[in-house]
Amino acid sequence: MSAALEITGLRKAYKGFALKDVSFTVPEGSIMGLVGPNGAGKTTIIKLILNLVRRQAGSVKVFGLDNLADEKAAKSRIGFVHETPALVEDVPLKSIASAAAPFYPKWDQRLFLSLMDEFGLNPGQKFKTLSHGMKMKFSLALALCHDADLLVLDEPTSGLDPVFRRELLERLSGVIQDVRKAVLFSTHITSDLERTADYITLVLDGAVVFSSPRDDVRDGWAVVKGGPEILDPSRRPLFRAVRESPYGIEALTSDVPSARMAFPSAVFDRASIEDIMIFLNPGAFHD
Amino acid sequence: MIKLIRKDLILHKKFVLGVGILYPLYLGFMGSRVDNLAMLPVLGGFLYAIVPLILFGREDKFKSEAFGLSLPVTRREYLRARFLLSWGLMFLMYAMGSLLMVAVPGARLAAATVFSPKMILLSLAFMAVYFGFLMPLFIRFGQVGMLVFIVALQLIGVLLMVFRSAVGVTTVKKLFRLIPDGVAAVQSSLGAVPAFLALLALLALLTYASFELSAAFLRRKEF
Repeated sequence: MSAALEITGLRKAYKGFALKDVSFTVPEGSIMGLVGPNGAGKTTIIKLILNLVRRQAGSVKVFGLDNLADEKAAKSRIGFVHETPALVEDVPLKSIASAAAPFYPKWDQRLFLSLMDEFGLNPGQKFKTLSHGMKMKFSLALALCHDADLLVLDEPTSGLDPVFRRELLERLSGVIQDVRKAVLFSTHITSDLERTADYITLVLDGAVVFSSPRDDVRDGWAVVKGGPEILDPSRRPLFRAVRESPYGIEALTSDVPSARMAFPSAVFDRASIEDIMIFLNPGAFHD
Repeated sequence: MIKLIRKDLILHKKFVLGVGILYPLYLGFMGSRVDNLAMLPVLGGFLYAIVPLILFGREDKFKSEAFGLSLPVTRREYLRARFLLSWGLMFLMYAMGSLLMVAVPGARLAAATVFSPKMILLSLAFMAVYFGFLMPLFIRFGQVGMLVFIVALQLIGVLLMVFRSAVGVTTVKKLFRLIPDGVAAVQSSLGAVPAFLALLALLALLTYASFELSAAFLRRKEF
């Protein structure tokens, strides 16, 4: 399976924050969820893909095209939704669409109008009159109606009601029915990922913790619950994080078979993405 | 590039129609009251050069440039379109304003003077200078860059007043005379074809330098 998006060794430093050698691949015909807490670096990664910020090292390839050397060709295959859609506010939505349409040879005006209708948007309405959720829906309509091969969506479900959120996720699943297409979407709503994503990339503090198929994440990580024996320093390497609660000790492991052998009497629960995120989030717990 | 210009015209249609028509009307009328020939290109050039920057300032205000740059275009193409659109707007407004300037009853300057090749070239030269300085500042600092430029002009004014009180009025008047004298000198020398071509080449070079500097700033800019 070839890659729709291939990110290798991406670096970007700001004052007080840095992306550290971020690498992951989104295969064609798949949905990749980019997850992490606020400030983990998800938006920076997405902006680097679109060349909205400058990378300091690494490479970004969109269907084999370098996003800088072949910027125009690479971007023409991307449908993009910004985390906080910002467009010229005092013009009607139909004008914004009419300004964007000529850039995309496969722009489908009929689909655009049908999406507007479906999303409850009036083409004559001005952008500034929309709520955040409606702005997001309009951005989604723009991204979806030019038959993009790669959808890059930054927090597309934020501000959306649960019903539309579910519809959107179903629509994303529909997009990859065409196996040449792919979707990358960032979120911190982990239930969205568990419902839709084929692959999950967890980013914490600017670094990729893992980038794996969803099932591998589900099967490969566990929360171990037990007594003080878990705190034994010699067995500490089995755990990625440990926390003490009034009800006992919990630890996160990504080596379930070894942990099971070491602690046969402990309780093993499948770790959700939220568990992993919370356990590994720096500052969330103290070992 | 045409698509980018079209995009800007669609998204800023009201501004272009509103300011693009009313502003030359206003400037045309004000210009018809002016009889100082040297002030025409010096002041007029500045007043026309700031209009495209106010237009792009709207994108700055709405933070919508990320949308424009997420479209399938390179940053150089994006900038090239902005330069072309700016020159188109400036030239159109200048043409409209100049026509009105001589058409308004009681106009003090004759059409033959306002539309002489020398005057047109001088006006374009001043526009190129102002726009050439302002555009990179605008790209680098946004609307703040323009404000900095205007504040800097005012500071220069204050410094000149201080200077005037220190060296006396006559010296300052002599210094100020250098501008119209310089303009007149350039005007008289433009009669010669080589001088005319040299000025054209200088303007092209200035615009190119301004474009490259703006491109370097835009390349570094993050959205």
